Amino acid sequence: MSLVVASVTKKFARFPALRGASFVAPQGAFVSLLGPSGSGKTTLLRILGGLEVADTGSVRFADLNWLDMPARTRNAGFVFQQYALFRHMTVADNIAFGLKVRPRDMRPSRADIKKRVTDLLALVQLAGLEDRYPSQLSGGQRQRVALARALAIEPRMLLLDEPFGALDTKVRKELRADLRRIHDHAGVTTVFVTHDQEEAFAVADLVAVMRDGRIEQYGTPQDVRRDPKTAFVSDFLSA
Amino acid sequence: MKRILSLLAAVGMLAATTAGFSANAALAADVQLLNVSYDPTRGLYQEINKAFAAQQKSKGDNVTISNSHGGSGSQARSVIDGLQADVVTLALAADLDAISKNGKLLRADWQKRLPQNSSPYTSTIIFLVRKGNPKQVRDWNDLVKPDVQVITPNPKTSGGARWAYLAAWDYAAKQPSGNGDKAKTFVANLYKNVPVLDSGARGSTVTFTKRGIGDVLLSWENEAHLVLKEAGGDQYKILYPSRSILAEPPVAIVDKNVDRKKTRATAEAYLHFLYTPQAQEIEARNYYRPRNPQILAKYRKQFPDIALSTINGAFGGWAKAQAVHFGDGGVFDQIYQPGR
Amino acid sequence: MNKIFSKPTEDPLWLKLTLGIIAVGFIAIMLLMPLVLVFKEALASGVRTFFSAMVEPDTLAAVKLSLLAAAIAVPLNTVFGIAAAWSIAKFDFRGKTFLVTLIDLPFSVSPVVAGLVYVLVFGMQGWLGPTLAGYDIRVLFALPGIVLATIFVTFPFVARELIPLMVDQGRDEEEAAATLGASGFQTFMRVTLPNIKWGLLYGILLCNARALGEFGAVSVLSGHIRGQTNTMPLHVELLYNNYDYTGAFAVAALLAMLALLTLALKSFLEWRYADELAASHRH
Repeated sequence: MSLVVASVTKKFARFPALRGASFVAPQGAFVSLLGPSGSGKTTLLRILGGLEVADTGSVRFADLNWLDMPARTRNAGFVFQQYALFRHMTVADNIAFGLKVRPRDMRPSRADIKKRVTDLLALVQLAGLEDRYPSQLSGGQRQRVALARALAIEPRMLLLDEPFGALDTKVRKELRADLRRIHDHAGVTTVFVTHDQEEAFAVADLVAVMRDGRIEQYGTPQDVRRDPKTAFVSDFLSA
Repeated sequence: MKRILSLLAAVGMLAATTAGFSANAALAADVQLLNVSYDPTRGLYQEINKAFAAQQKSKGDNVTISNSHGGSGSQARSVIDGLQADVVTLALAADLDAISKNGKLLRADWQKRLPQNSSPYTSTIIFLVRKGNPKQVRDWNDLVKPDVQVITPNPKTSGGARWAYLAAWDYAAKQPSGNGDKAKTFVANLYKNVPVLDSGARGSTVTFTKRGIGDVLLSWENEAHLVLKEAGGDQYKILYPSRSILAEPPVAIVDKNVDRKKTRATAEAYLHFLYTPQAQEIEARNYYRPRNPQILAKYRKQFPDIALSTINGAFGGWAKAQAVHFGDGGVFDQIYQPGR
Repeated sequence: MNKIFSKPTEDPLWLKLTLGIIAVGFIAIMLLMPLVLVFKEALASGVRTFFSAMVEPDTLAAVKLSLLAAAIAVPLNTVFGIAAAWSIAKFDFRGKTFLVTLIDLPFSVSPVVAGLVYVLVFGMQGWLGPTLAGYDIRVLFALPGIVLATIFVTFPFVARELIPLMVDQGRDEEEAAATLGASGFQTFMRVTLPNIKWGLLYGILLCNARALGEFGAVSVLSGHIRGQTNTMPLHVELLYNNYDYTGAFAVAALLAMLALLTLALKSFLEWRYADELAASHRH
């Protein structure tokens, strides 16, 4: 059940954000899309999440024509850079959201939902904060809630858009480690966008270095570091 | 079985009685009329409508009359645009001519179809002065004295103001050795004494009464009485100049509407009612001069004798007066420069 | 002067006082005083006269008509406002700027012009008047016309309140909801609506106040039929034109009271839900 991305392009008005991106990742891999701003990494991620529509190209995942499915049926958990928590709901309600909006026949019972929430909060190390509101949390705590919320729906794919960008270094390192731990535990295919190469290399199984809408190099962190294929890649990595 | 029969009988009787009622009701008609009138006639038609409805009720008809009020010109405009008037009772013949010409809703000869130019009641322009009349205003010629301030609305925007202007002109023209030029000078001097030119009669009244500006207000006779009744009591006095102009607010049925709504008979009865002694008395009580000489005599105190010119006699008709005096570049534009 | 500065960014005392006095003075003269005068004139002839003016059949009819017109116009404009703000804030589409300009049209057009436009369209000398009259459908000089005019002039209130709010709030939360499996309707009810409820409330209150108070547009096409097509503002004019100043001010006071009631309601709700308000503002 690998993830096969083939020649995806996307233009915004006249601006070509993606000029043909392709990569293949095995089921359960942790892929990082790495590159400077404007490289198209966020666009590619949003296409995977169903938040943008690709112009051409295809994506196959779990034996499905991924791009033909609307976002809400993909079961792809998305973590936003600015958290995008529901500001008027408590932490518990935020996390439970994905479960509560399921059609009646697929919806867990109230008690089950409550248990899931408690478990997830423990997983992201925020036990006891069920009744807080997002505005009462620190940045790091909010991102943990966002992660828990994405995981609550038992996603088949986890997508993260520079999730630690707004946080300070210490918190980033902690969250990075927690994320990897959770990924390993859940075994979910994860795609992680960042411009920070240290972060990408520390956490990912596979790294795609992007520039100007194309993937310049794709491989394991060791391979890429040892053997940069283009001048851009070696410049980017040494910066 | 017996129960069903008695039930049927009861139902049958009920049906028979109600049929009987409705048969009676079918003889009486339910008629609704809309009277589109101008601003100050609210009190007048409230009383008239009640009296007419009572009269029709005694004949077995159920008549309800709704009344609309507004500026005479804009009411005419509304009727042309589709306001479903059965009768119009406006201020100026010109407005009814407009309905006839532009809306094709009235016959062109409407004015001849009812007695006295289709005006069951008339009014005129008189003076309203403050208690004690400190400036000793008696007649039109006092209005051009240097220390007298006159309040009257702008003839360009107010129908009543045009009548006041024409009354002043007519007075000057009718003086010994009076003529067109002398009249023009007189009116020019009069307007030099007007400190504030409001856009309408209501504005002028407020200026005179509430703001306390001016020594004399040129006003419709019926409105002056309304002011005394509602707004001022003993602080003001009505003064009759030696002569003034006769205003004949006309009434007419709107042929196209009454034919479509099938209300012609009642509408005609309504307008004829306005000429009956009962209605003429109501009109007098509401400060309109009745045509009926006996009723007029009865209200002599309220309606003193005053020499009256007509617009046809003195000015050759409203259309001519409008064009000569109030059109763009007309006499009023020539004599009045705001701010002097 | 420097001693008065307690922080580098704080305004000097004299400036604060001057601006404060100007602001309060302006409000007092332009807003408070007319309001006080309206009530003073209305009660000038005593409380009994005031009440008898209120319960007069024509006045009651005018109140009913005003409330009815508002009851139709406000919900319609609310639905429209939400729909417009939603599409403008959450989507990109061609003609978006045009739509925003169109929404602002009733603000830039004089209400009288708006009324006249309807006369042009629905009058017997206009486009549709004669055709509709053939089917005995009367728009002008009746309730439909009044409602149309009211809808036009109160069109933008809800939309203009919501658009900047929703644009400011961005699409993130809605996108998150979509990825979590929510349908469009669920997203709207659970995520969007709760986030805009204060702006929505304020917009509705403004819309309602304007609907009750509209004069120009309604005056042109109401027909001024006493007891039938006079709204409260028109009825005030009618009384004033008949030298019934007390009556006119009495009905005007009633309008003012309704406006004050609206404001009081808003203030009450803001006080009652102060915590929620604060939470939804902080981000």
